[in-house]
Amino acid sequence: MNEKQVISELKKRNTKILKSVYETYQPMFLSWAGKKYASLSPVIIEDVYSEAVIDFYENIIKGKYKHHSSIKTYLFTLGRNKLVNIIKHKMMHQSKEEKIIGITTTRMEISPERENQKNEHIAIVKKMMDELCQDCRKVLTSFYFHDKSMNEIAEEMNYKNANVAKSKKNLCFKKLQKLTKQLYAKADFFE
Amino acid sequence: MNNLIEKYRRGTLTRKERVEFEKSLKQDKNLQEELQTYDTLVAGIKAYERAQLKELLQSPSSDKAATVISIKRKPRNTWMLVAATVVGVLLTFQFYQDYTSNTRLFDEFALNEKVYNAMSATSDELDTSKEFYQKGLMALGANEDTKALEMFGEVMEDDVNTYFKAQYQIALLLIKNGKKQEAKRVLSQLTEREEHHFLKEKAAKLLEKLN
Repeated sequence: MNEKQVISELKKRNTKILKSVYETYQPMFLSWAGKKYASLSPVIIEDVYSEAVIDFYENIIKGKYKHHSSIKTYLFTLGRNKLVNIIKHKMMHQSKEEKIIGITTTRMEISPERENQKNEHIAIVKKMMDELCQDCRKVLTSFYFHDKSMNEIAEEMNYKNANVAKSKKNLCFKKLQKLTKQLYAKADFFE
Repeated sequence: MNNLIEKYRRGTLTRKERVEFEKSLKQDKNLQEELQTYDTLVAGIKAYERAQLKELLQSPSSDKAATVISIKRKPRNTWMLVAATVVGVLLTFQFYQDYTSNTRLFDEFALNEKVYNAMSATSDELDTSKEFYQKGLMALGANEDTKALEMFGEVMEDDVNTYFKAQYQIALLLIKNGKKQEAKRVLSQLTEREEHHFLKEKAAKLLEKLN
């Protein structure tokens, strides 16, 4: 399979091929990053690599990846930038905090309090996704993450047409909003 | 209102609708809150799916050997390679003749960029696109064209502004070194990109001169 075929499959949201891409370059990335960024733990490097592969996938489905560079170069660049950000964050906060708790902490560096609250709310939504039915989760992630059209969703979910898919999506979104609001209220109560 | 917010975030409002929406957004606190809630919900959905995908990626494959695919870059055409070699030889031959016009073009279209020497002190681990670009500028200033090409080549597309500048510098360096065909290819790619950037116009003018 050449790169063009791989990208074409990923555009079709073929996650099996995404896993293959992940497995193809993983040993090379871990070995390269392990040597170049020896101050970071293998767990962080592996996590960063997964994030880079998902970013790569997102960029493909959003049409941001133009194939000017090879998949390997692109993945390594995404990963390298993430690792560099972690190191920069680590250096900036070394005097305040000696250990990095996880990759998510590196994203809180711009305005910590506001960013913290925002991340808390996002975590609540993420948690509430589990409370939804499987169909709702599928419709919402297909539309908002995989960027699928209503026609594609209708076809995949065996709905009558795109309008039915759209109604379902709106209903699920409202359900999620309601569930989240309830939890927000509880969180605010505890604050 | 969710529908309007969704269209706004997905960029599907007409220009007029967008202007009106942004005007309302400035004045209406409720709308600001609704937009914030929408953004949080979408971010949560995305975070959920990212976690699911991450789990899928990190889970051991049942048959790893079968899933690892052999990813090849587009196969190279031998005739293209031969042609490129011939072009290369011809370009080398023409180099001495073109030298004066090449350097003139290089000087005429050069960017007036500042070099921050402090960047050279940064750790090797902190090589980002901007720093590579600065290193490229430093090499350029020292007339180390090969090193400059290498450094500019490290600048990646995710930093759009730096990428445009680096690619433009690469094209100039290729012209300076008599590799006009390669420079044309780099310039064409720059002008065909979707992003808006002031260098697109400059690249197009340079391309016109080369043609």
